[in-house]
Amino acid sequence: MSSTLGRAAGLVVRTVDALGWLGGQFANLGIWLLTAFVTYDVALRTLAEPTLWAGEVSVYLMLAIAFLGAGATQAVDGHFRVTFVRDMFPPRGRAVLDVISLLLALVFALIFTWGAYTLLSFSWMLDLRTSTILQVPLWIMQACMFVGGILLSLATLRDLIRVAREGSVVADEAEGIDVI
Amino acid sequence: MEFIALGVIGLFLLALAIGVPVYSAMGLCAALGIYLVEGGVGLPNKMAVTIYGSLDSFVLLAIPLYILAGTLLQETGQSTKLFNFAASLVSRLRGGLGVATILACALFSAVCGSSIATAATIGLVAVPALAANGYPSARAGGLIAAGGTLGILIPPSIALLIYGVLTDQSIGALFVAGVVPGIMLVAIMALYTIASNPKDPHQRHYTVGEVGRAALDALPVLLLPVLIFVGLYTGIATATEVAAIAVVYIVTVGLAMRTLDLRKIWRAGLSAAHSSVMIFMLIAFGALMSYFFTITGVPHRLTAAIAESGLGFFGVVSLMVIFYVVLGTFLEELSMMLITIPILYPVAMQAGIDPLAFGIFVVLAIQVAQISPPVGLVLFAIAKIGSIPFDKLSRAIVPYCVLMILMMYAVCYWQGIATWLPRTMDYSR
Amino acid sequence: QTAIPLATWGGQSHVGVREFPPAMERALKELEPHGIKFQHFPGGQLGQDKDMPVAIPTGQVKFGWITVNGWSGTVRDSKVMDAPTGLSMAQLDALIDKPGGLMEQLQKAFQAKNSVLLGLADLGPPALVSKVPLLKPADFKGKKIRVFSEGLAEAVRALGGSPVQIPFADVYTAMQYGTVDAAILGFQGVESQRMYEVGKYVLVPASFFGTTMMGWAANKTWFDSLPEADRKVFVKAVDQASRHNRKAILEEIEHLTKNYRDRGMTVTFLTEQMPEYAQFKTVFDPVLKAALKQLSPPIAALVAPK
Ligand code: NA
Ligand code: NA
Repeated sequence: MSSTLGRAAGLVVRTVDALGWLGGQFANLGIWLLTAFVTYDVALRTLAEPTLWAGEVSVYLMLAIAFLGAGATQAVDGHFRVTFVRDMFPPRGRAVLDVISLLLALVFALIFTWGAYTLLSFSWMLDLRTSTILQVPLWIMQACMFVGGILLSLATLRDLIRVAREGSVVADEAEGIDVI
Repeated sequence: MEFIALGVIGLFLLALAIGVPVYSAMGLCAALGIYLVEGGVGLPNKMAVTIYGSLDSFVLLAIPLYILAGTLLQETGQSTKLFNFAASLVSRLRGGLGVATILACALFSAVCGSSIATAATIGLVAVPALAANGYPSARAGGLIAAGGTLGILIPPSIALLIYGVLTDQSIGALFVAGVVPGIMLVAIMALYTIASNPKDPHQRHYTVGEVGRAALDALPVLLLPVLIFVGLYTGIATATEVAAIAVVYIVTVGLAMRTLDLRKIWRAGLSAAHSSVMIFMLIAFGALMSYFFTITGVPHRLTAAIAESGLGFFGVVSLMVIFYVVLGTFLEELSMMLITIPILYPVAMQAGIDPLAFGIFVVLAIQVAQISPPVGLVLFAIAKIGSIPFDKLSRAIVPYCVLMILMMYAVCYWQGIATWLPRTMDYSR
Repeated sequence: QTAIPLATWGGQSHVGVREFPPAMERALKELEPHGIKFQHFPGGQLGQDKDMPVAIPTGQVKFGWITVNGWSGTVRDSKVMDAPTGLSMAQLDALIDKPGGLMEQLQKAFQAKNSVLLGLADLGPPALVSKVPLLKPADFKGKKIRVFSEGLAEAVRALGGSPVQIPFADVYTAMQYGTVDAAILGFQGVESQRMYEVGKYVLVPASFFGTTMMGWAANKTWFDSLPEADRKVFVKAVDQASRHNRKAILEEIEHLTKNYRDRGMTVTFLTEQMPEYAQFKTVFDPVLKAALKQLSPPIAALVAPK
């Protein structure tokens, strides 16, 4: 790998790590807001002044957490993989399998991103809203899905770069990362 | 169509084997399958609509909230105290901590309607505690995955609710019908744990005074189920909302007892976020897989084949058992119910199975599907949450699957297991 | 060969699932014995009620059973179904079919969202289930009442109650444990959700809580791609089947009413002759005026008080 390309790859890895960190922090904040909204709703209903927005907003927040957090979770290898078959191979074989599986994951992440984009632009064009009390434009949540798709693609790309540079060691070590 | 379905299943298993993340393998294979059945026009858009629709649900809110409660309990150290107490209680039993784990799952099931949330929450608490007491992680994971299935058997239960709506059965009666099979399953699993486990490595006998001290230590966490019960059964909060109340309670107690600070709160949130996202992705892309199988019409035809098989009682029951366990490898629980119940329900009625008993049968079947290798949502989640090697966990879970399948037969042959309590409580039928 | 895949959701015994698909299949066979293949995907396999307003315009569902009320985010004028008009089912029925009526107006609005509205059938006004009798507006003061739309929330507020949004799946337990004092849901939902186990009184307040309108809608792109002859048969078959469905609904309401009463519930239908009707009308007049302002003028004119 030439040094310019190497530096570029390094930059991608660092950028994606930063974005992954950011996505994680957002999801964290989101989960606490979720707790706050639901509790607030219960409290106000007990006082006979129920809110009509809290439950609905909580669902939107959950959607945002799910999509924006997807990339972040990929960035810490937090998604579930079955690895015992792969682990039976020698390091070279493992690296090859890792590259194949990451390429497949990348293809999927790109299709997903593309799909999110088409849905987002469709909802924008037809001005679709939720058929609920708040009537929120659907493109807002679907934009989260689109951004999540981009983060997911980038995180997969980052893993691909790391495997290309460092071999199967990356994925071996990743097993040790403490998601919980 | 059958060839396309089989081909996609084969590719899916291959993708899993080479280490493609599960959600990604599901999404990619579903996309390929939908392409083969309906062509490529609007394919990405269809995928996006399905994924969005599968997560846009109020009921799912309980998952991140209960998981957050679990990570917080871990950060405060309350989970360890709960286990010390459980251990002290059953210290004279072989496999006492295992029994305690099952009991903890049963207790939690009484407040939580989802098996994945039950397994994930108890898993967060129990895996470290069991590990600290010398339990091999796979054995711990097997216990928790099995115990988690109580989540939708013991009321409240999301699955029984959906069954009730689909078959026009009394939801109240169905909830009550789950109680006896739930308790029986707890007993059977506990007996199996006692019978199969060697003596706990660090086991020692506790005196009454020590048990009392352990109870006092664990008091804040022991009060949690009480709080949830009160919140739920006095109508202050719904089954989903009590999860948030639990989080608030744990934070309040943690801050008051100085076992929690801002750093720990933030860390608990981050863990919970990662776990929830992982589960959400499995649900979303599982829905995509289900969409693919639905449009092939294969599950529909298989279900119809059972209906027309002309077999006797044992044959029909056995076919349904096999069918659900196999189908459950590729469909998530909701889709499985939506596709099979409209057709198999009349078959079960014709075979003389009571609607309540069949409800319990279906819920058990779905649970077996969720925890049986090679593919099961609860199994994946537990493996990830507990950092348990998947192949080892897969082996550890098999006996529990067998026990549950026996329980499915039992519910069909002695339907009173399910129907006795609701009848006694005078649910008019 | 043209295939028409119908996506439905909800329980097997719902009048829309039980009556429409067989009637549609019969109509297709009658009109075009060899031409068109009919497929039914029940139980929300292809999409739930809440998914339809996106799944149909995007083409993920080609032809689906919908509640028009649930389309307010996609077709704004669907809100007409929530307007507290106080009309009877017969009066509404006449409004649907007349030239330039509800069907025609809504069809235009659906077209703009890449959807074709092919049939309508009024399920009747939503019902209010409660443990204590709620009959006149004054009874609603301070009561927590489950609603499922902004229109209903407005209605409950106008009556002096507190609207609570609780998902359909939680209504049973919310009533059982007293999280809410009363719940508004479809009249048929009293049966399917077993509300008679957790409530004792049913009030059907004419359409002061609006009405629940079912419909059948197709993706426009897909619809336009069908051969013209098949399209004509399709339109006609849905029309016949939806009319059959309307008749079945009326029979069912009668049957269900008897059923609820047999199970010990007190069922009250608010009619113009009752003294409470005038009280409701006084409360809802300003609400109706505000609701009509949110609709496009031709639709508002249809339901505006004469
Ligand atoms: Na439960
Ligand atoms: Na399985």
